[in-house]
Order: sequence, then C-alpha cells, then structure tokens
Amino acid sequence: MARKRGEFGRTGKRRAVQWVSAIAVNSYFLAPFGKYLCVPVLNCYSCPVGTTACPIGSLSSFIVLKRLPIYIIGFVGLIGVLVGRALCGWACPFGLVQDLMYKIPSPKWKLPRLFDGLKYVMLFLFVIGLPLILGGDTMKSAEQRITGDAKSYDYCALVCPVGTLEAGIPSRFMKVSDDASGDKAPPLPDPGEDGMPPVDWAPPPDIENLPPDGAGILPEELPEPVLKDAPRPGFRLSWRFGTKLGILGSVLVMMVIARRSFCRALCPLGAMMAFFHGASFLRLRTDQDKCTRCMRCVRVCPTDSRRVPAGDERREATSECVLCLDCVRSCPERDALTATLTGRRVMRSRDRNETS
Amino acid sequence: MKHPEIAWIIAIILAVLFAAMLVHGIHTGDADYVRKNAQNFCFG
Repeated sequence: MARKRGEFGRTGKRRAVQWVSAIAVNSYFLAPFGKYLCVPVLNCYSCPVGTTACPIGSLSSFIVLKRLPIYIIGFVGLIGVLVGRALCGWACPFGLVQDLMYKIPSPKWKLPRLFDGLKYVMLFLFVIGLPLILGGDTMKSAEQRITGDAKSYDYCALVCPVGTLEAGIPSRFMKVSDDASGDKAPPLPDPGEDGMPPVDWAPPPDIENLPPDGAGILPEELPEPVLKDAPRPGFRLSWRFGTKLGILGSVLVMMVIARRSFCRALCPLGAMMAFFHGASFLRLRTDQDKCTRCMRCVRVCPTDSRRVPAGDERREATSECVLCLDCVRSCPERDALTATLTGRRVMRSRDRNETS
Repeated sequence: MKHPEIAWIIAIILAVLFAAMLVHGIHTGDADYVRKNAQNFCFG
C-alpha cells in the first residue's frame, strides 16, 4: 500500500540510519577493525563497546606528542569534502541523543547565533591550544583521563560530555581499572624481583610471644596480604570530574530546550567539519522558479542554518548546516529544492500528496 | 559562491590532498598509532 509523504514523519529514514550508526559505532566486536578509523562522529573511544577512534581524542593525543596528525586530518578532511557535515545529521550518535531529547515536552528556546562561535573556541583552545602548550600525560589510564584525574588538559579531560556519559560515569561504577578511583590516583607500584607487586604484610601482634616451634601459626590465621595502591571501591568525586558532570547536566538540559544546541555551540568536531561546508560534493540547490518562498524549509531546519537564496545568491545554508535534508523532505513544491552529490541528484522535494 | 565551477575545482583539489594525506598516514604508521591510542584509551 502506497503511503503519502509525511504520513510516518519527516525523519523516518534518517532516524533509522542514526540508529544503525549508533549501534555500529558501539558494536564492540568491530573494534579490531574500527579503531583504525577516525570516523567524524562524536562517540567516545574510551567506552568499552566503542568501535571507532574519536578524531578529537586522537588529534589531542597527536598534538601532546608533538606528532603531525596527517592521517587524522586526511581521514576527516576526505569525509568532509565528500559529504560535508552529513555525518553530523545522519550518523552521529550524540546527534541522535539530541534529536530524541528535543522531543521531550518543554518550553523551547531558539539558540542565539552568538553561541555558534563557541565551538571554534572549543576546537582551537581545548583540542589544539591547551594540549600544545601544556602537554599532558598520555600514559595515564583511560579512566583517569576521562574523569579528569590525570594531568591532561584537552577537550576529553576538561569538557567532553560524551566521554563523561559513555565512559566517565560507567568507569566510576565498574571496578575495571587497576589504578584509579580517587582524586589523585597513585602510581602503579614497581614490580618486585618475581614480577609481582609488593605487598604490605603486617605480622600478627603477638608474634614475639609465640612458641619457637611455631605452633598456633596456621595459614588461615594470617592476615590477608594487602596490595599496595590497590583500587579503592566506591564513588569518589574529584572537582574536575564534578565539573564535567555539571557540563553534562547542562548540555542535557539544553538539548531539551534548544534543538541541536550541542552541535551548534560546543562540538569541536562540528567546528572541524564546518570548514568543508562550502567545498563539499554534497550540496543543496534551490530552483528559484519553483520556490514559493513559503519558508517551511527554514522552519524545520534543526540548526537554524537554512537560507532561501534570492536572485543571484547561491548560498543555501550557513556552515551550521548538518545536511539532514529535512528541508528537502519538508518542501511542498516539486523539484524546488534538491540535494546533489557530485552534481547528481540524490533527493528532491515532492508534492505533499505525491506517493513514495 | 557565484562561480560554482570554482567550488568544484576546490573540492576536487581538497579531495586529492586529503586522500594523499590519508595514504601517507597509513604508510608512516599513524593509522596504527591511532588504533593503539584508541585501544589504550578504552578502560574496559
């Protein structure tokens, strides 16, 4: 049975792709292959089930080590040139979270354009600047870096709400790390000659008065050896991790109020991909003769980036456009708005009563 | 951009440049370092 457009919602296919992508980048068993790939979607690679390498975390690590991130720039740049920010709109798991959070009924707010520039501060200050100037301890454990307990000064350690949500909080509750749970985790003990960590063994208090034949000393009566610097159970909150939890909470609240607010204001990956907005093979094109300027495409735009070009103007959107193509789907005029990839049409607007 | 053909040329040049950087990174072992870094980062 043919259905009319819009009958099952505008974002049906895109939502399906978002779910598939979210599962794929968190599918664990693909990790042996996926960890080579700096796929430009925001998904923390500290998460045990994370499949791909985070471009932001990898970039900061390269900068700390004063190593040119040629591979990362090449990978992210190539995808940026091919499809622009389409992965932000179609494949980013955190984008999916934002889209779902925005469905929660609440007073809605339009994020002022002033906030759009904040993500460039995130990119140049926290991803590049601070790691370059202050360095960091890249040999610390993942838990210490994500929770802000290591001497790292990058986006992962100071800001990233995705890392806090996917790795920081779980790592605090899962006793999987071998060297951290406190504000200042102690260094790992040096192994002894036998390769085992040293132990603190306290003799029984009355050992001086024991009979010389050793009677009464049984293995089960000896105290349990205590490993030096063994992980301490429980949840301890450092000020840095507390700050990150506050950032995460603020971001979650903002997601409910303002649509795609994190993408627009705080995402350094979005800032990187925004540079390819004007030089991407995937583009929007408005047919001026067919467009009735009803502005429906402007209203449905999740990032408030859609512009309806007038006259000779060819600018279809600002660099905030995540190429979700909701504008194309919502356009009621046949062929008035099309999306093209290397010049070939991949999606076009259709009449509202047209079957699909 | 008023001249779309210039945008195409820029896009093609950038694509070739980034592809070359990607291949160079694979040859110099950067890709392997990215994998090791990602695995080292994983706490699980």
